[in-house]
Amino acid sequence: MSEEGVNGRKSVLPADLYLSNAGEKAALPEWSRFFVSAGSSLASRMEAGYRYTTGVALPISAYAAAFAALGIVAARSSIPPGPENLGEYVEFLRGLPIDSAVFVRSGNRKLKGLFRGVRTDNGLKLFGVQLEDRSSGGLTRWIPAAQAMSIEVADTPVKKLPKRQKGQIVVSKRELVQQNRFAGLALALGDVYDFVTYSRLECTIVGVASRLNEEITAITLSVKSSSHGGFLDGTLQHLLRIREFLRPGQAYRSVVVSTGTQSEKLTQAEAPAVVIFDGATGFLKRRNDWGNSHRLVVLDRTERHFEEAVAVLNQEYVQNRADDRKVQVSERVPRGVELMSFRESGR
Amino acid sequence: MSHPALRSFYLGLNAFARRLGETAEDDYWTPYLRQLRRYRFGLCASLLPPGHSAIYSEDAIHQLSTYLRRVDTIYPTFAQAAHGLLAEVRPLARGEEHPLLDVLTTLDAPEESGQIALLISDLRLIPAVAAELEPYTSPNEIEVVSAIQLRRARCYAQIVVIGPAYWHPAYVFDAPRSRHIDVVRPEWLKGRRETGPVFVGSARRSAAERWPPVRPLAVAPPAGALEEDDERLPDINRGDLFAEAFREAPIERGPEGVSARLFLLAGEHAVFLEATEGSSVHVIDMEEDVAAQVKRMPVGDIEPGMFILLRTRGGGDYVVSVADRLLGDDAARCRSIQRLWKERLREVVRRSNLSNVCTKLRGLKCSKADESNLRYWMSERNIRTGRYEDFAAIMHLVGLDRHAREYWDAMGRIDAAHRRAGFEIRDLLLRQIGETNLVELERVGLMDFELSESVGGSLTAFRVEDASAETRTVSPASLHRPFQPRSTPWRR
Repeated sequence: MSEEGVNGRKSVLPADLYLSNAGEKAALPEWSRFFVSAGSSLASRMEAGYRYTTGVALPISAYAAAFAALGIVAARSSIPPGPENLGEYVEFLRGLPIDSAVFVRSGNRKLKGLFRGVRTDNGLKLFGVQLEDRSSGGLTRWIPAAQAMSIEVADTPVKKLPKRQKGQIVVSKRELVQQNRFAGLALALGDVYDFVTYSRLECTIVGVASRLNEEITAITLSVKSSSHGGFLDGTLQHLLRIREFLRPGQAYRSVVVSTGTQSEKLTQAEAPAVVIFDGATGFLKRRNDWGNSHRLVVLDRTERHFEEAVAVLNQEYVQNRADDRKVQVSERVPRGVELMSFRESGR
Repeated sequence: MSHPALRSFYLGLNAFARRLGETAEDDYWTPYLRQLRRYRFGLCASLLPPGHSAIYSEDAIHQLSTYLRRVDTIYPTFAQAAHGLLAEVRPLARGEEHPLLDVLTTLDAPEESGQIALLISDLRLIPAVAAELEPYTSPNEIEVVSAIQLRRARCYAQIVVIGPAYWHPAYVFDAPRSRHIDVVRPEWLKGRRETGPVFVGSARRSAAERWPPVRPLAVAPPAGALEEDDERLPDINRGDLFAEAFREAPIERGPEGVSARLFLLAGEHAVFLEATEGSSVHVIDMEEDVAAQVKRMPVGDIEPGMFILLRTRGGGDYVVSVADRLLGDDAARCRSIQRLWKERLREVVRRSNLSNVCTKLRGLKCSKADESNLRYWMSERNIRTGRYEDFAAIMHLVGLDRHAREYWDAMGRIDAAHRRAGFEIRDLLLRQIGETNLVELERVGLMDFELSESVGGSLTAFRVEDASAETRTVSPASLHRPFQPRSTPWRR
């Protein structure tokens, strides 16, 4: 099954994904396909000036957020990180503070550096990245704006630059594609290399990080592979590419924010397409943190703050909804699941 | 469930309370009604034998009989009815029925193989019910559970709910952990529960699309036999609940009193926790990440369902004892300084009053001087002010201004030691909790944790059942010490 994704391209809902356990394969259950569809439907909303919210009340919320995130990433995986995004990214880099920690991709190597701002030379905009320590000359590379995508903001600060830097060898393109065949097949990726080397925040999940980690990394999924005469195995993490569960510097598509986190650095360029609130606590604490992102609110009927979160969501529905347009989820709403969706204007 | 004698007592008690009207709120009637309601509720919520010690106390009934001797004089209009109701209790308690077993033997066997969950609404009764069943069933067959345990992902072949549906959280039925739920309730209680969508803009309106219906075991009550009050939810009247515990509180009227909130805990315990800004306690929050389950939480953020950790064995504050060990040889000097300036401050307040002292402190550029902060600074739970300028003002007021900087640094050492102690205790608890079956903690509501020799004594995790909105001024010595109110307030 598939539905129209963003930009009119077909995105794949993983109807051909299987749960794998000790060699036995089972089709994904109906309820998981529903959440994939719910996420995909939200991610496909492109009307300027509107934010959609979908709330679901469930008897148990295990894996709901994980599969919804899959739908979001899958729906948006067809957006290339190419020229359409370059302009936005250039503007983002122009606002990046001096001394921000960054990576620069150069050939098959990745170098760490410190951002040195922007300058114009003969009409050409250039971004500066210092790659070596001042004591050895402080080598700074000036990168044309057209190649801005080779600069990536680092997640951890750079304590000290090396005196000489060769950079980390990154896996060759061919090897990377080979290693990520599962993702390529499961998401029907046009360009696997882009998917695993360029970061773009599609989805933020606010929830209990340890539980999400277990859900996303522990279960094995399989996809049929005609070229390999059987199945390819992987996990949801291969598809979601959650930053917190990757090695530093690896390209990500999703982020997990723990409900216990007091504050999180969020820049405008890091606003995700969709925020998933996995549980009432995270929703109540952080529901206004991403004003421009669509929201999926997953509420477990057994959790402590369920009624409080429902009351808040109902209040938003009554006070803020712009009209009666809803997010249409293509899959049937499973028994025991209650759903409400609305959109707000002026965002 | 049919039981003529219980039905008579149950409805008779309701009728009597209605007859009393507003008089039911009088101090005279409160203990009488509470005791009888407690027994009535225990019978219906557990189905234990009527004379079981977990629900019936001959001493309590005897005391009530003595208590009622005055009713002929004070409330002659109600005397006969009051005596009559009490007279129904003893024969009821002497009955040899075993309603729990009777019910379980009449249940249809579950269609699926697996364990049966017996849901009891009151945690206090769970151990007694489990012990009562032990000779007849194995834990593999029937597990006695609380509603909190039904929040987990585990499913059962069948759930047997004791008491009307509205005595239990909605999620027992809206997020069922079994395809088959049987409700055992007295036939004279309708047992209706609210159903319907939770979202105002819900895409699904039909209740028929929801879970399979619950099977009521009780026969439909005879028409006209119900009293209208039977429909009411068992309301936990906050005023009653807390009034009783506050009555026993060691209220401190002097300047050293500390503002505190009362928390009702599992196991019929209660505790006063300091309510001033900045005060906190260690909690176990099951809904957090494992690494974040044990944490320090502001008292104002503590909610029912969380578990607070209180010292139950070993003297003094456990954080203080660890902090003193960390301070090493400097502990005696620092603590001596702490006692010195606090005692001098209390003396100044005793000779004057809080308001005047605050005025003087403000004159000395102490911007945070108000009565609440002044009480806090005098208390043992405070280490020092937030700003040096405020501390210097206090030192000047109490004649220690020559030592202001030295004493500020000493208090800083205590503060740092307390923080490190907090981390050490937290790590210790995390290790212990990691090795503990927390399902048991959720089931029973309290659990002891032995601390290492470096800390000494033990902590007990208590589930918070309820929290008072109001605060009282209590003696500092009574803070953070769990106690059992003599007469535990009860549901209506």
